Amino acid sequence: MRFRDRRVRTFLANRSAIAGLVILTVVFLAAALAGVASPFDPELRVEPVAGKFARLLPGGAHPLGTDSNGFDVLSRLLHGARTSLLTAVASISLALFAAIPLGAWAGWKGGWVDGLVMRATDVTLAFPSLFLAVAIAAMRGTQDLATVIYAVAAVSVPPIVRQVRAEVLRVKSLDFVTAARAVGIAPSRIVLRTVLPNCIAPITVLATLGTGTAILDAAGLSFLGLGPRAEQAEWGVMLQAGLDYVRDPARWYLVVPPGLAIAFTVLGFNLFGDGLRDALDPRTQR
Amino acid sequence: MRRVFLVLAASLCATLAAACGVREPAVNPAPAGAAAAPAAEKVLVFARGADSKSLDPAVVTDGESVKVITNVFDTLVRFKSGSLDLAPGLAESWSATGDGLQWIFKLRSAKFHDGSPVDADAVVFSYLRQKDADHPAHTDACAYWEDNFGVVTDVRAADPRTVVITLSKPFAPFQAAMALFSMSIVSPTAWKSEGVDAKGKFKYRFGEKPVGSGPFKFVRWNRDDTVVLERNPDYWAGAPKLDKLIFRVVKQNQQRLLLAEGGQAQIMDGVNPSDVERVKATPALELVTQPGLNVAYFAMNTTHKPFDDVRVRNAVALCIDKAALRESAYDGAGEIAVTPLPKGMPGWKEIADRKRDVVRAKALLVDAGLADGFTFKLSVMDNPRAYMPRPKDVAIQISQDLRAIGVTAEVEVLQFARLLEDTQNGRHDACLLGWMADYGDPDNFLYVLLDKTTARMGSSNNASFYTDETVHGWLQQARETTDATERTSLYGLAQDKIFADAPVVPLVQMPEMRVVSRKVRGYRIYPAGGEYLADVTIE
Amino acid sequence: MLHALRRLLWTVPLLAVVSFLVFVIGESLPGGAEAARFDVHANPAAVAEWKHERGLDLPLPQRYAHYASRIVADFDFGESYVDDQRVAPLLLARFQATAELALFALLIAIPIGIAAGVAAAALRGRWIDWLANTVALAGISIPVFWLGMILMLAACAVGYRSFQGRYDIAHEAVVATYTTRFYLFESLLRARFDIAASCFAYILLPGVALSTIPMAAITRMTRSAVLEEVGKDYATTARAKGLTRTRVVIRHALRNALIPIVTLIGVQTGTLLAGAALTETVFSWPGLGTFVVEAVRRKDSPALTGGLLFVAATFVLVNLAVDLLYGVLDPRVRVGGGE
Repeated sequence: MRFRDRRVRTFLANRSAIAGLVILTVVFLAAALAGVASPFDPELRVEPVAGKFARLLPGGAHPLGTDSNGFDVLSRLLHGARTSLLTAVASISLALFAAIPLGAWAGWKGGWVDGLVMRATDVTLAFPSLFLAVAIAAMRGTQDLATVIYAVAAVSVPPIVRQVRAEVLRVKSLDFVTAARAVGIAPSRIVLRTVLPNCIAPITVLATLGTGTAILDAAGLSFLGLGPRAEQAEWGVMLQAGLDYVRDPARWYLVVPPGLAIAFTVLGFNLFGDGLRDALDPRTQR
Repeated sequence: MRRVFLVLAASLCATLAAACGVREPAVNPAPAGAAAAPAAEKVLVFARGADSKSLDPAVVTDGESVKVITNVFDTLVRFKSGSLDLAPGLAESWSATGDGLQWIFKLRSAKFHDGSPVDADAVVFSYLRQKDADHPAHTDACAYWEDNFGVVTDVRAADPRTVVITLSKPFAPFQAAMALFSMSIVSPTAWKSEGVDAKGKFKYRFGEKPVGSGPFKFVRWNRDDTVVLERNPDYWAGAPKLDKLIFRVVKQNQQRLLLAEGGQAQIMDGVNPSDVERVKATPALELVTQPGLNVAYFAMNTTHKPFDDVRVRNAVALCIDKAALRESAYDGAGEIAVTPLPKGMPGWKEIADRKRDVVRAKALLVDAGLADGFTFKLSVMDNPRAYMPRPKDVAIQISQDLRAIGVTAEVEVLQFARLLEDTQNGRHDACLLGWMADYGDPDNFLYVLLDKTTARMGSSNNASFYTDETVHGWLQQARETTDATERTSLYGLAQDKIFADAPVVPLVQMPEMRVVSRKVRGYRIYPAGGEYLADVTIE
Repeated sequence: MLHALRRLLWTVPLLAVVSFLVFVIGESLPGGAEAARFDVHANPAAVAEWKHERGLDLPLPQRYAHYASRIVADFDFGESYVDDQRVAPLLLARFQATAELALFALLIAIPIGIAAGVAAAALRGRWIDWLANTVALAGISIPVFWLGMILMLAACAVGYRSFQGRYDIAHEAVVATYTTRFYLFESLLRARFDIAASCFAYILLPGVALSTIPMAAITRMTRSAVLEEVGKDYATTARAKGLTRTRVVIRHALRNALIPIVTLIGVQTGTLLAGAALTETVFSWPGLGTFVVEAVRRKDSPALTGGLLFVAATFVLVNLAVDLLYGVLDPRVRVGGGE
């Protein structure tokens, strides 16, 4: 099969990009089918067998055992995919929603608006993302998924603002835009119709790579105990509980799977994002 | 401040300020081999899960502070080794007038670590500073005094060796409460050493540099890391056998155990129940255990609907599966508790527990007009307590249990101080808490946790705001009488009524457990909390 | 010089704004300042008196002015709301612990990362390139705290036990006399090799776990920077003159590629500090990251504010230093230019 679009061909020729796509497909499938595929309810303790239900070793009905609350680890792992993806996608969408208009406005207007927005991103970027997320979680003071989403969204905003602004600046100086302005087309129309469509490719790349980072940040926040509520099937929460079993090789199933799941998913986003960038951005041809 | 700046600048540039420190002859040259050959020195490391908050005995309420304080300070009356029985401490003897309103304590001869004598004036200083708000060493946080010594009207020195304490009415637990760590005798000389500030308060930061008369002297405190104490050779009860005592913080239970396994700690507390088997299998380690005088409980706020309804409380109590709770959140350790008074305390009454009965629970709810169940917020602390190694997991189990009757518990994990603030102000619907004995009197549990007078909005220890008048009558009577049989029967009545009313559901009573190196001799767990390491030695 | 000056001048207002922001964050914790301090026996009058003593009843701008002036004048970050501890000495101690861990991680990451990047570029398309790429990708995808836990599992399996704290407790008395909290480096400088060995044993696992973050980034950056240089005219010329590809890469391309690599290390400081916070949690390393998280849990605003400010200031200042260094390395920047 031959694809006409050079970009699709480039992407398909890139083996690691395909690997990323495959990984993401698996993770998305796991998330989508978690309800059907999970053997148990991830937030309901399993029925005791001979009085035992907590910390069951892997095997039988529980391929990955049960944790200290008697929750089936495999079911939590599958539902964790759903939680992680939802959190990451929600926070990145939220970030895009805030960052695109802000970046476009700054880039198009220039002058003091630009200065203000850029200095604001400078200030935000002065905080390592996790610390900013911790600060936001501290201010909200409650432990739920929303806290994680807001915190991760906030730290994802500045890089997107910068990218959008840079793209707008680049496109703004192009001839056809100058022409459009000369003809007297409304600036908002130019931005929406011509400038932003030109920014879609780099923003897509950024958002894809950013989703990977968002998953890591969200897991880190949960791991530090500032994440969602206790029963939530979430990978960072699972790892936090696993911290009490690192000395116990027999309890590997409480430590290894959630971390592998995070690494696998983030790897998928990174490979896919790199592949997208190579395909979409002619400047970084290998 | 200049030095601080230098260090910062050096750190920021990622160069080593140490270079400057070394070029000049070392300020504090360690004699060669001092650290390399510590064999002669007997150092005991006690590993624990959290740091002390302060080392000022009058203000602390947390167990981690108490562990250090009991080694630095003395009380007039102290516990006999490993028991709740009382023995003479700094007071050689004491007596009370017939009406129980005046107590006379005769002091022995002892010295503070700063060399000043422990005399009656020091005792008066140590107590009045907790009682009188205008005392230059008073702070607003003398919690234990307020809870236990509100009846004290006067403390005075009759002569340098005699202290007289006057009470407004008889208080049966008075003698036992005198052994509380908060009644430690502090050095007035130290307090006064840096003068007073504009408001007339002493400037000396006693909580950071405590001076007492106990078996060990304070050396230094590296926050969140170590508290270092050294032997007090002049201790009145004989110098301790250890040269140095180090309290060290390692948060995770299992990682703390690694220290003990690697010989980096000789005693550790907070062992995971699930690690007990492994400890037993390690030849170099010993598991020292003893029934603990504590109780973990689930408290329902009776001022919040629907927990004001005794049927609803009973429905919830009927639904909680304590056996499953013990199996999961307690790793199968501990003993199921039925009454809020721990087994082993005087006055404890054996009561047959409810059997889990979802059908009856549901019927009770229907009866209360809540056929569809209800939703409430279950507040829980985020750090392990002696009575609850994994609080979050306990909350999860209860939330799991209550699903059976359509009741939803939204688990809210809070920092401990924050949880207490909520529960004291009655902001919670329900919460998980626990209590550990401070001394051997049932009053310390039943009155403090469930009397109507302790349900003060704003500073309540009575997390269910249970204000039953009959129970109050019994508890008050038990406070004022000294007849042991009468007190036992009064406390028995109170426990029956509390069980039936179910303002709290006692969950589990945890044994005290320590992992101790086999090289350690003479270690005993004290049931009232605190660590007493004066008689401990290392082979 | 203009560039350097401009950067320096911008840093001052940046830090001012950052500190104000951090102050506002610290002041807006739910429950207010008293939530940190009062528990069992809060009596409203006592709370009010305490707030008055601490100047917490003043308006926010006034409080900030006071806070900032104390930092500038005395390097004083105030006292903890929980236990009245002065925050500055704690911050300094914790900061140095984190800095030692981060430096150690960089010391592992820089040589290995550059070597791997160069090897990948020199042998482009071969298995080593593929390996370096894969490892680097894994490095940015694996959560560092999980890696720490796995290392711990592995270490326990082989009987390695030195990873709780910073040194063998037997050395406590000597270490307490140190000038800095860079225990490993200071032990080396003081020629206390026994203590240094102990410190090394303790820093090894957290250091290795943390090093994966910068190592991955450095490998990727080195590879692409070197490849870019190799594609330039001068490199082509050099090859035309008969130099081997490897020689061109090492002798010429790498030198020019160092500039983006140095910049990258500056940018990585933030990630490194964040990674340190997570690594510290796993390894009970008494650093700034755990300090900030503890402050959040205790709702101790002065500690949280101080901790965040320290993190942000470090990040800003390291980037400033890198920027200035950049000027030294690349003469073009010194003349002016800007972005």
